[in-house]
Amino acid sequence: MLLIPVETASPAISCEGVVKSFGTAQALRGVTLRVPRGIIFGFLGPNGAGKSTLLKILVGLVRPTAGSVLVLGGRPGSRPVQARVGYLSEQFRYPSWMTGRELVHFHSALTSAGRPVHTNPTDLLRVVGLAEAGDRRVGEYSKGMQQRLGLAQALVGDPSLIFLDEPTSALDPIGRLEVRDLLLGLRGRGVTVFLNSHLLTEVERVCDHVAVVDRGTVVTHGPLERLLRTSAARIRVGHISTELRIALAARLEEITGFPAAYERGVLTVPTSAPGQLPALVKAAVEAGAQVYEAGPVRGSLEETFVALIREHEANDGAGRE
Amino acid sequence: MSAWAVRYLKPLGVLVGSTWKEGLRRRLIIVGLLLTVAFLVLYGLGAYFAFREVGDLTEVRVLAAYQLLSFGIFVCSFLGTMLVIFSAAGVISGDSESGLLQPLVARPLGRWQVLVGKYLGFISLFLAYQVLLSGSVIMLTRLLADFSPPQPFQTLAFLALQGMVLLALVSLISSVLAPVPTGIVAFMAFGLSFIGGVVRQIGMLLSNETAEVIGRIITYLLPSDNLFRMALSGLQPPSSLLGDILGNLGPFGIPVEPTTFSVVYAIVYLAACLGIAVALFARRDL
Ligand SMILES: Nc1ncnc2c1ncn2[C@@H]1O[C@H](COP(=O)(O)OP(=O)(O)O)[C@@H](O)[C@H]1O
Ligand SMILES: [Mg+2]
Repeated sequence: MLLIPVETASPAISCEGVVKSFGTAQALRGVTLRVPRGIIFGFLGPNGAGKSTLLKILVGLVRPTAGSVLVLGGRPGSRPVQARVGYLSEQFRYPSWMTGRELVHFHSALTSAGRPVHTNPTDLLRVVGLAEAGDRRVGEYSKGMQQRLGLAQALVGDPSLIFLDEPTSALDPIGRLEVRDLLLGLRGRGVTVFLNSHLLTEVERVCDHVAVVDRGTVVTHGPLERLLRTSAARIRVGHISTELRIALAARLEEITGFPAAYERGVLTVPTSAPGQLPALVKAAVEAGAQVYEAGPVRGSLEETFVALIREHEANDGAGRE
Repeated sequence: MSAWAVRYLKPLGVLVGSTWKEGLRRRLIIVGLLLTVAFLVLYGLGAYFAFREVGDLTEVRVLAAYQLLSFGIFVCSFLGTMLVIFSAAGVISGDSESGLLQPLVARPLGRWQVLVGKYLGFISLFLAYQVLLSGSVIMLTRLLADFSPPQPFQTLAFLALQGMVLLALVSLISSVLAPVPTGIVAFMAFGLSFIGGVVRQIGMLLSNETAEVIGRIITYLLPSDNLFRMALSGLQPPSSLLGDILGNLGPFGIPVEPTTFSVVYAIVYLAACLGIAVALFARRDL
């Protein structure tokens, strides 16, 4: 066994002010991130935000223009780090003349130059659902099968950190579900997963932490729970008269600044501050309504994401004029 | 295997193995062999009919056989060059553009190993092919024209060195240009080197110093033609007056006597091309 003198408490990834320029264009404009070990980390952003560029920097394929990067406590691209890292690229292209099984063999042989590898190709191919197709040539695979093979390839050598760039872009809904289970299984074994995606529902279901990136900067990051902030309050008041409804709506709008909606006994009050809920309930009671139930409405990741990106692009655009 | 061998040599072996497998799987090797057989048959027929006619004039016979063989070796050199250029034109830019290179580079091996491993894979294919091809041409000439070149191994060695130098050059060009331009530039370099050799030869024949100097400069910039001429010199029959005249008029160049300097120069040239290619590849964004 190899003894790797790596503090388990140290983060899997830490980036500090990472900048990447391609000529005059800046793909990354100072990214600072910290990814704890053993979690599924979602890196979200619209097309062209710089997700793939950061991933390639973390895998050692691209050199940052500025900033410092540590992966598993080492320099990305260095041999000991590569030996513990798996990577599925956005393009997932593999030699068309190889069979799936040969590709897995080939990558185990190359990985074993870094450390002993005990990969059973049959097991890996089964894990990604290619048990039957293992002896067919990659050139005969469908796009989805090639992406599955790419996943198997990324799993070669039991990596402790795995980078997946849009790993389900070519998969059908069943395939996506299978990948989700696979990722959860990996996390269960202590593997850190770094997932690039713009598929929000996918991320919402598996990720523990997320970072949202736009135009080369991280707009927000943290545990998913914290990110899905309250976007509205729901107050059930039962059936009330039209006059009361109008009075209530006016009163609540004074507090939040947004018009409230009434439907089937429930008032929905948009708010950006969850702390306003008690004040809203108090106002409703004082106006003469009976309150049966009240609570925050959790925004979906999609709503949060769209709001964040719109806000960022508005500020960013204004700042750049 | 020692840890050192596992770390440094094993990946090279894996990459060489996969190049051969690819050659077999894509039928590159089998098609190459069939074409080679076709060429050898034509060459053999030519040799057979040509030398059935030639009478007993030993000197003429030897010279004719030498001319035929130098033509055959020129074709070997040309085919070997094509093999090198076509196999390796996409080795860096092409494979990086298509996304084939990234998964390899993400493995625990140095980028130099990826490039050197691929170089060794292509060069081993080339060497096997060239030894088979030019070896057969020499054997056929011996059988059908009754001519045994004085130093066949020198010829093989210089043809091998020519391919190795060209492959290093192609690797270097491929780290800057896309596959098709790489092929075109490499082929032009081969042609220019040939022209440089001819210019130098003319300069020597006509005692034109300028032409000779220009030819010599080209010869150093692109040593492939000079290596070919040194390969030819292994075939040249012992000199005679008639031989010198005919040899000078040969369409494929006057043989050049190998010198230690030119061999060392070719090896340094090869190492420099590969070294620069590795350095460029090491800093390349993939
Ligand atoms: N090799 C490159 N050369 C020039 N520009 C690039 C290169 N790679 C990426 N970019 C640019 O950097 C930005 C971020 O790209 P990318 O990281 O691929 O985004 P994402 O993966 O989030 O869609 C884009 O504007 C893209 O055009
Ligand atoms: Mg991308």
